Amino acid sequence: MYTRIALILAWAGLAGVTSIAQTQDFNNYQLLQSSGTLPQEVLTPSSQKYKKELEQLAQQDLGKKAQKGRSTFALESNFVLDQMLRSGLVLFNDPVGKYLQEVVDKIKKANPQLTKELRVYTVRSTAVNAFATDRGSIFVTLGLLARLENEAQLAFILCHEIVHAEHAHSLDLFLTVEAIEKDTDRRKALRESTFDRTLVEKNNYSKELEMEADSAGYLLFANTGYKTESLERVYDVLKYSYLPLANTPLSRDFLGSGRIQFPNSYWLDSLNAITGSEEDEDNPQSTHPSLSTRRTMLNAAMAGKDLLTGSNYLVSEPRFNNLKKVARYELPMLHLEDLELPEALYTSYLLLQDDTSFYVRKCLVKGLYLMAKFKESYLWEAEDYIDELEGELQQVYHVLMNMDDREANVLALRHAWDLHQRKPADTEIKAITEDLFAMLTAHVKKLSEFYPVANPYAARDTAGLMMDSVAAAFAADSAAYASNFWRATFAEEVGEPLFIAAFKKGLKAKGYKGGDEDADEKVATAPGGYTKAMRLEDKRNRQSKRLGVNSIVAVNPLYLRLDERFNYEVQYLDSESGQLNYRDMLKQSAASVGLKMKVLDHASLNAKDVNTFNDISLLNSWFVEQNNYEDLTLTQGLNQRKIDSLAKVYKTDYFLWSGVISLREAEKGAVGKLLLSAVYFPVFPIVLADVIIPDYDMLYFSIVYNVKDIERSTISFNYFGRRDSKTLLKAHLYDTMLQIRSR
Amino acid sequence: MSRLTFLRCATAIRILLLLVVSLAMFPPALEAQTPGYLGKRFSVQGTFLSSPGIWGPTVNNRGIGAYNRSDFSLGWNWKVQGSAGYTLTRELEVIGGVAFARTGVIAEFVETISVSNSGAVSSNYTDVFLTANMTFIELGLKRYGVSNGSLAPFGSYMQYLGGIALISGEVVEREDQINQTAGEPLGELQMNTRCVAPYVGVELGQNLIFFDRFTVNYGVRLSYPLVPYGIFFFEDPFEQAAAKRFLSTNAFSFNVGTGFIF
Repeated sequence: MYTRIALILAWAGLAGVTSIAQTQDFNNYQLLQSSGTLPQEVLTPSSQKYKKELEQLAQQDLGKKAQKGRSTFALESNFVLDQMLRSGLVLFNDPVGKYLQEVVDKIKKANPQLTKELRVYTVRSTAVNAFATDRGSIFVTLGLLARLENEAQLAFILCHEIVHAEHAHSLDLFLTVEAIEKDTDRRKALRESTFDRTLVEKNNYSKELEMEADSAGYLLFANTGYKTESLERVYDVLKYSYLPLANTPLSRDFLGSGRIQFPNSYWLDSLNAITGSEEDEDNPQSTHPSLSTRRTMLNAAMAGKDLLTGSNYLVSEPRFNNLKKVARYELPMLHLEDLELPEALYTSYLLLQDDTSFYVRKCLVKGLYLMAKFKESYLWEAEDYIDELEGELQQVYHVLMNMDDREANVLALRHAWDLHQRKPADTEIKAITEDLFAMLTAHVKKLSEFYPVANPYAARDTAGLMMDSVAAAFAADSAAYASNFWRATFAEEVGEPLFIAAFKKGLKAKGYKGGDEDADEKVATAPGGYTKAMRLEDKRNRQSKRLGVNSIVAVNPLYLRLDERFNYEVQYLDSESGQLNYRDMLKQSAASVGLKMKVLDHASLNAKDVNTFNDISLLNSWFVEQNNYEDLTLTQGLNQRKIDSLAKVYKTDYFLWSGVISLREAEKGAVGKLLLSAVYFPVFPIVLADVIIPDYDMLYFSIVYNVKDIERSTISFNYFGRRDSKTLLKAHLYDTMLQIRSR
Repeated sequence: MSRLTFLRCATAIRILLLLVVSLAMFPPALEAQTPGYLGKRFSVQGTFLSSPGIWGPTVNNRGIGAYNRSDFSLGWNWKVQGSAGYTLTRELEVIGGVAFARTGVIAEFVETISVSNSGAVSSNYTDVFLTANMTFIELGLKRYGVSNGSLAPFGSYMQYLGGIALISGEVVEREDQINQTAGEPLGELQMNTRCVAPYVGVELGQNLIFFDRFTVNYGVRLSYPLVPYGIFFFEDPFEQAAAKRFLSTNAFSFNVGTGFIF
């Protein structure tokens, strides 16, 4: 029996080692995602949580006013928090989250006075931030974890957040802000003042809460046994949080892949110095106190304490370092998702200083590929803020800004081709390379353009090194060199059969001759063309499509109800019930035309459906990406391989994003209209009806993607000046399904 | 039926036939899907149309311009219609319908009598108040505003319509003005009390659907008779008066209807 237990334990241990080893395969790094079972707080409908809190509030002996404020907070906070939990940015049971939870458990064990159940989650974000809710949920971003020195610093930040959660600061701040906004005297003062005094008052109160979290957080920290020596440097992390992970000079050779010598004009002579956030500046617009105030408070609390007592790691040093590296590896992809392309490229570059990870190389290629795509459509600009950048990032922006579309295309292809040669089986890089070849045909019609005999700048000696004449031209930084330097990029590949075949395939590829959107743009910008463009759009709206699809997956159908009368506030309860109705209508409509439909939505999930949860997050992220690329030609997704695999899982290439945003309009100038109608009495009933009958606006959209071929079919994306009645929605959903199903 | 009436009638029938043939051929060829509200393409509907009694009497001799009445009275003309519709595409629906309306018509009958061998003539005049029974046969094409969120047969639409009205009159009251020179009083009126008036029109309206089956429709309609009223004299005084009355009765009307789709 003992042998069996030992075997089981050994297996469990081995499994654990394998799991860690998998997370440590940084060469083929896999992005973090949720695992295990989904927590109950994600599965419970927001309305149910809200109703439960209302019941609890009803039992408390609060005044009517206080009750109202708390119930509003319960409504908004539950829905907003749940929205975030389901957004895909928050991870569940991931290795980072598990580790963070262990650190929190250590803090809680050392501080038995803490009463709340605390849950900590990882947030996929490059921001340097952590935050907490009054319900005991703490969120830590990967951007923060990637910058921390050790576990002790992490514990200090978590202590700060635990105080926020334990003291229900978010509720406190909400009620105070509400009171400030409702205060008539303050409103009057606001009207009379030249700056937003209400905002300043709100921020002052927020600063008080932050100081309380710092000081009380330190007291919690002091009980844990962590070393305090590195704590103050947490504020340095905050001070430089707007910068990349390091400031290593960008190598020209690296960017040019050893083959492209950029002209000198592409490189700045000097860069703005790194200053960091203002230490002493107590910004009235900020919700946090100045760093110097916080440092002073911390130093006063630590005065007389032995800074070297304790340990920087109570859970595990190797795990911290491993997960910090994980966080760093997530950053390039997060930057790419946010379309922060120079940041993605530079972060990849920094990571490649110590590593040769294929994954990071891929991030670099994806960044350059997207840059080429945006340059192709003249949609990437940085001139407005390049002078405000500091350090090497300014250099990265400068060189990218100077490149024209052809140079960006050639540079991206250079890196993509190299990576494709390294791992030809990688489907993502293969697809990107093929697309870059297709794009190249707009600039390069013949391979000889890369190596014209007459062009001395591309000439190389037998060893492949640049000849003296080239070196001289480069040194002189002549205009001729600046306009021709890209020609040397593939001087050596032009004779290779594989390269020739890929180039020829690119010539045959379609999609770079200008699509419908280009045609519309031309029409719209022509004299008097706007009306014509509108007519074309109207015509397109009237025309129906025939996609001939048998099976489709609807991803997270959206239903949102807003009310203009209340500052466009979301009507949370109506939106939640509306979403369920909308999902059911989608299914019914699909069934009525014989379209097989699977709906992926959070409301249908069970605890075990973590894979579906990840699929929804991945698909939504892909959809957002494709919307960002809307004005570009066909563009591979950042996680295209995974998306392709989802097409296999759900046995269809077609995915539908559909939704309704309904707006109840405010009646404007009702009294004036009625008074005017009194002048001519017969129109009074009509005006009265107009005033009494509420006005609505709605947006209905249904967009179908063939995710493998990345083909978008916008079935509908229309604003209607009418209410989203059930009949109207049914009519449109039926029409949409018909267009999807019809051949 | 006079020759002119026959010719007008034949022209109207030709127009209608052309309309039917065009509708039958083109739209289905453009779109071979199954449009309609949740696939329901057929509809039947009963509609009540009404227009104010101005420029002539109503069937009860009310309204502005009533027969032999100097006092002001407000009157309404009415019309009931039964129609059937078929959704052709997501924005087009073809409608065929039959309607019935009654209104009042004042016609002036003139009898010319030869009073001497020299060719001198004299006339007797008769003012006649008739009830006009109008039967309408019409075809319409409703175009729904897809860009405003409407989809045939649901939502706001503009209908183009054309048809023929078969009008027959019943004399209710007459008043003779006998010219003494002519001598003899009038006997039976030599007046044709049946005529045909082709017409065209447009209608702006909303078609609402409830419980996925029942429809409620409301709108305004403008229509115009395709008779050269005011340009040529009619052979027959009734035709003249009926055409004029048709114009004033149907030129502008409100309509409310209900029905169902299947």
